Formats: sequence, structure tokens, C-alpha cells
Amino acid sequence: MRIVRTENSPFAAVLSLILIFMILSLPTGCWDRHEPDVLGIITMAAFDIDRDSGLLRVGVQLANPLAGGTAQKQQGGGVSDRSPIWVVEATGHTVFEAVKNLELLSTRKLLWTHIETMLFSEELAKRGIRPVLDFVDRERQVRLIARPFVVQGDINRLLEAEFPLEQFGGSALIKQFLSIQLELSVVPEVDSMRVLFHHLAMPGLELILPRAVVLEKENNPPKSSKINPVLISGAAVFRGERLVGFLDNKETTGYLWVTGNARRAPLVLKCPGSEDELLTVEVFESKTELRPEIKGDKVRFKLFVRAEGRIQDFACPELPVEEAFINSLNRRMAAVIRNEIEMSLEKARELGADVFGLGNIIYRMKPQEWERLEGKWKEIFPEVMVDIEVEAIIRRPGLIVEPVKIR
Amino acid sequence: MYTEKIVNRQLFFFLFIQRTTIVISFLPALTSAEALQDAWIAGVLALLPSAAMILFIGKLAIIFPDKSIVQYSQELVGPLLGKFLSLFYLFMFLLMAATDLRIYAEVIKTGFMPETPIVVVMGIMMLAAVIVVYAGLEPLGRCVDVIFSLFVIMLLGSLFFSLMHADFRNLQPVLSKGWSPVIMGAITPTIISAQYTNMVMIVPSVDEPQKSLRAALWSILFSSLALVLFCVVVVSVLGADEGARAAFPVFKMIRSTRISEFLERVEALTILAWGLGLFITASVNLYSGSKGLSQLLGLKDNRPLILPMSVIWVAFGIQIYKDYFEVKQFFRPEMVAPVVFFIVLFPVTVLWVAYLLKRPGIKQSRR
Repeated sequence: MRIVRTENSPFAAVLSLILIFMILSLPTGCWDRHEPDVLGIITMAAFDIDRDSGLLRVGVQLANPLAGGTAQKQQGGGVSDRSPIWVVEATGHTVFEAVKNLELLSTRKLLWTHIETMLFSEELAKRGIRPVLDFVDRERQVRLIARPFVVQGDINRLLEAEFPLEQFGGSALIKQFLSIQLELSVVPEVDSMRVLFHHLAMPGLELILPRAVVLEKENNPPKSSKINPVLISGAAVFRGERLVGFLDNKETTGYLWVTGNARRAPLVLKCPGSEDELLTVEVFESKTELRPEIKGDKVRFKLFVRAEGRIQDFACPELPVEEAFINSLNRRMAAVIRNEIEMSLEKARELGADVFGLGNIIYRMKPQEWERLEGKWKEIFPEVMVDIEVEAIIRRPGLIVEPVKIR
Repeated sequence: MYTEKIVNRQLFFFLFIQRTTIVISFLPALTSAEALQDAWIAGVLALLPSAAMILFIGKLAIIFPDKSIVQYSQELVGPLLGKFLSLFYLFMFLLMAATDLRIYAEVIKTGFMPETPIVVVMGIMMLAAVIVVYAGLEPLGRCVDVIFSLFVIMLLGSLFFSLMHADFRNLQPVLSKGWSPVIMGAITPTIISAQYTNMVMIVPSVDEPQKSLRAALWSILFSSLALVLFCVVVVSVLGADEGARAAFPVFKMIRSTRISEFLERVEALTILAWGLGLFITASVNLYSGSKGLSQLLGLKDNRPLILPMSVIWVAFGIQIYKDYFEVKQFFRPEMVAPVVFFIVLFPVTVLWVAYLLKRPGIKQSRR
């Protein structure tokens, strides 16, 4: 390299010196330097409408760095009774104004990059979530991996709530959501802002979000039996950007059957032969196929669902290992699934919201037909017929075959 | 005088990195037109005209394997017109380097450092380019040998991590709006292949210039493959609308992916790959520009020109676009296509005509 041969070029020597000093000046800091001790890390944000002024209200939950971990407490040093979380709220005409107004009340610069959960209040969702969404998509700190929820009940109570088993509200909600998603099929699969934006942008597909129901606070709860402040179940259904209604647990399971996102669903059946007793089958595998048939403005869908499960409890008097009996169990299981699907279709028709993306299937498979139907899809959707075919198979009985006998 | 030599492998790396960096920074096939989920088809379509353009420019360059465009244009059409025609190309290098630097600076300012002045972001990148160009073309070649593997690994990494969230149904319906939006989407990626004009300055320094054209065509093939893959993955992860709405779709996609509950926030990979790619882009353009200008002025060495040129280039990069919207506007097909096609194709067309008319004469003089 010429540049290091300084002995025959004074220019190069001067240049090297200048470069060295420039490089040295860089590590000492630049315009966008942020030290951790001036940052307040937001784990959860709640968007609401202020009832008195009608302005947008933004509340955030921060992780409190002074609270100290459990390990410190055991060592006896730095014992702290401070709450692990701190909540701050502000209002504004726009979301960004409200977000900036938060700084008025905070000693630390708020950092949005580690936000885990975004909550929308029922009032805001009914009025339309678009102003919030644009901020989320445009602002540089917010990542679209945050998980959205629609909150029914007092959103501030959820923001300030302490979870019995978790430190921070943001990650607590996610843990609760994930375990529900893995163990039961009662929450829709929309698990990030990315999917939310995707649902909104797709033609013929309405937005559906998980619902979080805030539970009432007990008066003087005993310390050992604090209740979890929130129940995550069911779904909030949107038409466009506006909330139009909720699906309950059974309807949400039906929604998951139709969209092919059901993971594990417990199904309670009546015993064949003795109708008073019940048994439970848990579905472990499922598969869904949806095919449109279009004749003019008449749209029919053929829905085929195949579910495989196992017996998890069995209070019937006997389990004869015969084809007829097993088939009767399978038919009952199929009937329960079909019932859940019909409930969810009925609810969606009533709300006029195509959360299943039936229109989207037409858009993807038959774009020419969709162009014709798109304008009147709102009127067509409630009339869409769905032929449901369910194939349910109980694969295995668990660790015992015959039920418990009491003589 | 010792002439610096690089090999065709390094030329391939230069050209691949240059086009890929700028193509993935704002994914023009998706964002410059209405192609939406068919953007990947636009990426495929852009390959043919790009390759044709490269053949057109590169073929003439390897007819004169030991001369740069500044030299052979003077031989073909006389010193005055030749110098005038090569000015077009020198301006093109300036325009490309300034635009690429500006796009990178916009990414940094939008996504990471909103308070840092743009002159610092662009200046530091240019400074790195100045140092390596000052060292010469051979060190630059060795740089690209190292950077290429990192660059490819990071690109593959960001593709792979995002694939976990891909839903390929988003690519349906195919060609629902017909061919016209797709063809419009193919124009800007084709224009970005104007980066290959750097060949006309670098080919004289290549070890086996006859094989340079092949290296360039391979690189456009792989670069187009990268464009198509990124279009497919961005559309299947973000959806066509969200991707087309984004200012920097690949960046947005990487930010929106959660690899697992424990591993998230991997956008550093992509930004680092861009940084490295931009360093190569700026360096190669600076080399071509300074080399061309020194030959135009009849200087023996291009080094005295590098530092003053770099200052002018950074200033140009800041002044040429008032804001991000102007950058975006510039890359609209109807804006960029006439300008760049004229600057790139007009001089070469004149030179081709002159060459074909003069050819018998040249052959005679060689005997």
C-alpha cells in the first residue's frame, strides 16, 4: 500500500495523521449515542381513548432497573421493595404526540425497540385502530414482532397488574398466550404485528385478534393466592380497521378448524349408549381443505376437515374394542367439530366479517372471479354456503384401554 | 510503469456486489411499480435486457482489451468527440456512487441514527473508499475477495431466517393484473444494471480480458437470482402490500421476523452486508471515475484526484436529492429509464457505429 510509505511522501504522512485522529475521535461518541442508564425499556404499550377529552391515550409499562433480580435478594445485598414495573400514561391528538408526552413524566428516555406486547382497548378498536397502526409501521424503533391483543375491560388495570408468576406484564401476556396456543385451540393464530398488517392488507380477509379479558381486582387478596389479572380467550373480530364483535372460545375453535390452524383441541363427547356420562378426546393433528365453487353470484365452499385425536378421559361404563363402537365415537367427535365450525360461520355471518378469508381464497385461486365479486363481497359473504365434511379419527386410547372398573 | 492487474473472479465479485447491494436495499422490482406479488417475475424479466445491455457495453470494451473507454473513444472518433463521449461515463460513475451512498445514508438515518448528520454517514463511507482506492485496484480486489464470502453468507442468513415465517400462498394469484405492471417493475432493476458500466474502466486491468464478458454475464445471472429470491421471501413474509409500502422492504422484513422466542432482532446481518456492499460499490465507482478523469486529463496517476473527487462526490450525493421522496421519485421507471439509458447507451452506440465503419481500416493498420 502506497499510503503507509511515508518516507517519500510528506502528503501521505499528513493524510495518515489526519485519518488517525479522525478515527480516534469516532469511538468517543457520536450523535446517536445512548447509554443504558438514561433509557427506560418499554415492555408493553396500551393504546386507549381518553373518555373525558376524547384524545388518544398511550400507556406504557417499563421494566424497572432498580427492582433487582431474585438472585440479589437471596444474597442479602441490594434488597429492594420496588415494583419490577413502572407505568406511565399520556394523551395526545396523535399517537406520536401522546408518545412524546410520555417523556414529560419520565426520568428516562423511552426505548421502544424491546416492546413485546401491544394492547388495544375495546373503545379504540371500535373507533378504528388505523392511526395507531401507521405509527407502529412507520416509527423506527417499534418492531413488528410485538404481539397485539384487544383488551376487554379496564386496560389500565392490566397495565399496572402484577402477575403472580412473572415479573413484567409484557412477557407475562406472551407466556400466557403461548401456553394457551399450545394447549388449547381458543386463540386466533395472529401472533405479531406483522401478521396483523398482513391480514389488513389482504383482499377478502378481515382482521381477527386475540382477546384479553381483564379480571376484577379482589379486595385485600391474600398474598399466597393472588389471581392472574387477565384471561386470554376468544377473538376480537374486525371489519376493516374497526372492531365489530367477539368470538367466544367455541367459535374461535371453529374459526381455527376452518383456517387449518387448530393445534390441540379438547372435545367433550357424550358416551355412546349411556348419554349421561361424558368422555374427552384431545385432537393432536388436523388438516383442512377449502375449495370454492362459483356460479354467477352464488358462492359455495367445500370444507374438508380431518382430525386425529386420542382419548384423555373416559367416564363411560365400558369401551368395547369393536369397530362399531369406535366408529360411533368417531361420528360423535365429528359432530362436535362440525358444530363448532357452524357456530363460528354463523357468528361471522352475523357480524358480516369474513375472518376466514373465504374471499381471499377466491382472490388467490380465481383472480378474475374475485375482480367481479370484490365490490359486492359484503353482500355475498353472509349468503355463502359451506358444505362441511369432517373426518374424525380416534387413534389411541391412552395408557389404559378398558375404563376403570369399580365393583 | 507497473500496471495493476486483477482477475476475472474479482471483476465478477465487484459487479455482483454492486448490483445486489442496491437492488436489495429498496427492492425496485417490488417498490418502483405496481407488480406486487408478481415482483419476482419482474426480477426474472429484468435479466434479459440487463444481459443485452452488458453485452452491448462489454463487447466493445473487450475489443480494446488494453484500453479504457477514454482511450478507445479517442481512437475511434477523434480526441475531441471521444473526450466528450467519455464524459458521459464519468458522470455516470459520479451519479451511481452518489445515489448509492445517499440510499445507504437514508437507511442509516431512517432506521438507526436519526440525529447523525447525513454528511457524516456518507463522508465516513467515502473515506473508507478513498483509502482503498488510494491503495490501488489490486488491494481493492483483495478486499472484495474477503468481503464477497461475508456478503453472501449474510444475504443467505437473512434469507434463511426469514424463510421460517414465509407463507408462499402470498405469491398467489400469479399475473392477475396482466403483464404491464410486471414489465414496468422490470425497468428499474434493468437500469440498476448500469452499474456494469464500470467494466469499461476495469477491463484493461483484468488479467484475461477476453473472459471478462463471461464473468459479467455470470454475475448478472446470480445478482438477478438474489433479486428474485428476495422478492419471493419479502412477499411471502410481509405480504405484497406491506412490502410494496415499505421504504426499505428487506430491512422491514428482517425487523419483523422472530426466529425463535430467544433469537430475534437479526437485522444487523443485513445492515452489515449492505455496509460492506456499499463500500465496494463506492470504491469501484471512485476508482473508475478517478482513473477515467486522469486519463482524460492526461495524468500518469489517478491518486492525486481521489481526495478532491471524493469531497465533490459526497457533496453531490447530498445536493442531488432534496429528500427521500426525491430518491424514490428518481427510481420511478418513467424518470430513471430515459436518463440512464441515454447516458449509458448513447456514447456506446456512437462508438459502435464508428467502430463498424472504421473496422477495415483498423484491420489494415494492424497488418
